[in-house]
Amino acid sequence: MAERVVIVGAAASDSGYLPQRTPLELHVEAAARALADAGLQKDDIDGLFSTGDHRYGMMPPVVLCEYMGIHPRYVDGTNVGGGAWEFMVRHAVGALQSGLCSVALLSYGANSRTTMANSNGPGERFTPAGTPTAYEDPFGLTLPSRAALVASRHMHEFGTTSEHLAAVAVAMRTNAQHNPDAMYRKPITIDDVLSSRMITDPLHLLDCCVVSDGGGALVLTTESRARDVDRQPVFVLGTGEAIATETMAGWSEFGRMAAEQSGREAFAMAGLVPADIDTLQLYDAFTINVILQLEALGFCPLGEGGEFVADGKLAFDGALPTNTDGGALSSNHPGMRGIFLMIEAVRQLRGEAGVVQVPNARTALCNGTGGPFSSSGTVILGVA
Amino acid sequence: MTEHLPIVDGESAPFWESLAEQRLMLKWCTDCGRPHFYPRVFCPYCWSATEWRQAAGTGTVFATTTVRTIGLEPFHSRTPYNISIVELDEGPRMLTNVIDVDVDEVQIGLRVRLQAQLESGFWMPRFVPAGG
Repeated sequence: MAERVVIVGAAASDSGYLPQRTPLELHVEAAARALADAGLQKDDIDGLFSTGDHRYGMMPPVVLCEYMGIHPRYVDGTNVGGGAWEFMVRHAVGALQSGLCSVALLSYGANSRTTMANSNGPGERFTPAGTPTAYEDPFGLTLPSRAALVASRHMHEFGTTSEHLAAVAVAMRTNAQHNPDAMYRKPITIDDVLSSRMITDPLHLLDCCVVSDGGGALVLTTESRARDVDRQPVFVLGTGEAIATETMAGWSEFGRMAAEQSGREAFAMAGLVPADIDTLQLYDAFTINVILQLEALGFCPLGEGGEFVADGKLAFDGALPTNTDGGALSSNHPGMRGIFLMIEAVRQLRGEAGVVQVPNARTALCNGTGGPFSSSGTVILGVA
Repeated sequence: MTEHLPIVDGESAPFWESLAEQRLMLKWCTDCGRPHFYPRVFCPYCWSATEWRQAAGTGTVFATTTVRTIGLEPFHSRTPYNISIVELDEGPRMLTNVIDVDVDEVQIGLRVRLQAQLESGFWMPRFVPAGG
């Protein structure tokens, strides 16, 4: 039986609008805080799991190792969009269990807010022409409009409403009120969401995530090595990963989303079912994405996600506390948010979540998605 | 302004070039017989060789949105504009703009037909309501 893998350090860098800060320094700030959290030193790191957006160039792990001054013996630069960090936890489990490294650092940093402030606003090209999206981007497809297309289809097939979508945004804001680092904390109502500016039908401004600067990091090791660490270990109970498509024309429809495959494998590995999960951390780039993940992961039947969230159960004090930090919709989203899902899950499982603490939280499921429904990584965490 | 337009390569050239004659070309597998989109040299279902055939150029709106906010030109000046996924009558789906109709009237289920449109010297495969 392979040794169990634990998270012993988790931390975010400063967050928000940080025009004087670079992606790389945010990266190291988060990594240093996560190491301090674990009680480990820079030289303990022998596995690096990291990537970055196009501003890191073609070789993000090389850029990072040089900047950080580290020389790991195991490197993973998987980039499948914002949920890459859930894939990397799965990969780190394999590397740690097989002895290819003993202390794995996952770290991330980006300054998307600053970059946006210095450009002409949202709508930068997501991928350059010449890739398969040459068949899509030239029509003026934006990142929010990809989610909007899927939302239109969900409404058509299942009767999901704009009020259902808004309920997700309201719950995230309820949670964000108690997060001093959240970009938006003022409570909102369903009407506030519905009366906010239409971005791409049916998604209003408040159906869309914030854009922030910031970074985050996790430190993982084996259970035996963790005995030397003065920190309550958070066990990786199950993982799964799956790839779908880059193009929207190739999108595979409800019932065949990547999250179904990644979730099924993670639950099977953990020996758990959705009813066993105490808190959820989902990738809420847009309100519809949360509904899709709840369905794909089996927390409600296919097509019923809208009605499922309508009663506010996703708020920290609801029946299924989700994104207790306020999520991408209210707290932060530097571009690849998946790592923050696990940072918040660790905070919950250690009982350090303050006002939004889920009583007796023992299990957490994190689901990171990447690109326009392109990839999904699921990580189930737990404490004894 | 042409930097937003597709970069044509050997694999995609017949698709883009046929649009000048209002013809929509798709790739079919020479072995399993299935059509696919976007066009590939190898069939994504069985990796066999593929061949170009003309499609009817008609289909049905499968999913749709109206883009009202985008900073990037030339798209900013076009807002509000439609984006739809159209399910072609041959089966594959493609992303496009449904044009020549009020954006609020484009609904899922609308029947549409190809209307390639010249843009900065490049023919773009857009669609119009089939009844129009």
